[in-house]
Amino acid sequence: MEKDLEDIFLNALEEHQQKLLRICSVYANNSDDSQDLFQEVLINIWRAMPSFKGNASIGTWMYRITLNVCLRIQTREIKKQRKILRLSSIRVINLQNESRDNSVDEKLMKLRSCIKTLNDADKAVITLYLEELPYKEISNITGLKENTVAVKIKRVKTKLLNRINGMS
Amino acid sequence: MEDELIKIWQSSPKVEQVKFEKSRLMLDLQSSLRGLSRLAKYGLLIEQLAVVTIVPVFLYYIYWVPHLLSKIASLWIVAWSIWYMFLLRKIKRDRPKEQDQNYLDYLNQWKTYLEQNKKLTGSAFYWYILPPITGCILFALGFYLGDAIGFRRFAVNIGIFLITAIFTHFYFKWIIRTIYNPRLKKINELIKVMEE
Repeated sequence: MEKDLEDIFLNALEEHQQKLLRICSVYANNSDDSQDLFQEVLINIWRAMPSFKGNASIGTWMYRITLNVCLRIQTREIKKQRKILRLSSIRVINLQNESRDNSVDEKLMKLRSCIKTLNDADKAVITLYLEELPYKEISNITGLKENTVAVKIKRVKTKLLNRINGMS
Repeated sequence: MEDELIKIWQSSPKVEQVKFEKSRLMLDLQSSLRGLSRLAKYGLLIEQLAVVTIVPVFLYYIYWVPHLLSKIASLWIVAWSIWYMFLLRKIKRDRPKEQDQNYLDYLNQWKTYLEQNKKLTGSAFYWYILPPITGCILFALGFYLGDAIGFRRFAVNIGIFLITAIFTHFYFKWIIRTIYNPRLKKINELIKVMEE
């Protein structure tokens, strides 16, 4: 049973790691913070694994936990946990210096910093949209109605585009 | 341009990548979880240990102290301690555990939990301070009236009880101001922007 859970967890992690890290990156202050948050997300996902019933896809389920952990960070609910959680086996490698295309880095950083300035609801909705999740799935993860999701996404996209264009 | 946003967002593997060793990760996770459960257990254990120590001591006093008023006070303290232990367990039980709910439900669940605890902390004077302090004062009064201690010692004891009560009262007020109010404010803001 434990082995099955491990396999499901590791496979899902391989598939979704980059997406989860991207979500963490907009809730963190810097890249170290983002790595810490990502580690906390993983621990919370693994802790919740026995309760995964398979009603939703494992990706959707992981996104829910990720957002809820990011929320708890904001309300300082897991400040104590932070001190004892350290996963030395997982690292986020920064490739910025090795990147051949600097314009990619720049655009991504610009987009992230714009998303960071949004309110938490808009932040949650737009990150899920940028991961190309359908409105229905975003609605399941956030608890908002599909119409509200659509309206928010439209509004935030315009806001983001204006800001990015304004920055360049 | 909308597709461009998605493309930029998903270009992150060119900037940062996650590296992990499967076998070591699982060991790391297990050990972190053990650490977490120890943290949760110790928090509860310290509170319960204090209560568990009080109960046998005052049960012995019911049998040992010669003064009726002190016997009644001991019984009162034992009864309050047992009630308080059940209350601690209830508070722990009501803490939101399910993390895989949707964002809005999770926010609402935390809001309810924090509001309940804030209310409980706000009324702590009546259930956390007054009952044990009354018990302690009656306990000391029994000794004083039975001539087991002099007035000076009785007065010092009463002074210590009252100072402890006043300190605890203001400590709870501080907890509400610095912990519950900011957290509830943040959660209410989050719920508000979600529902906008």
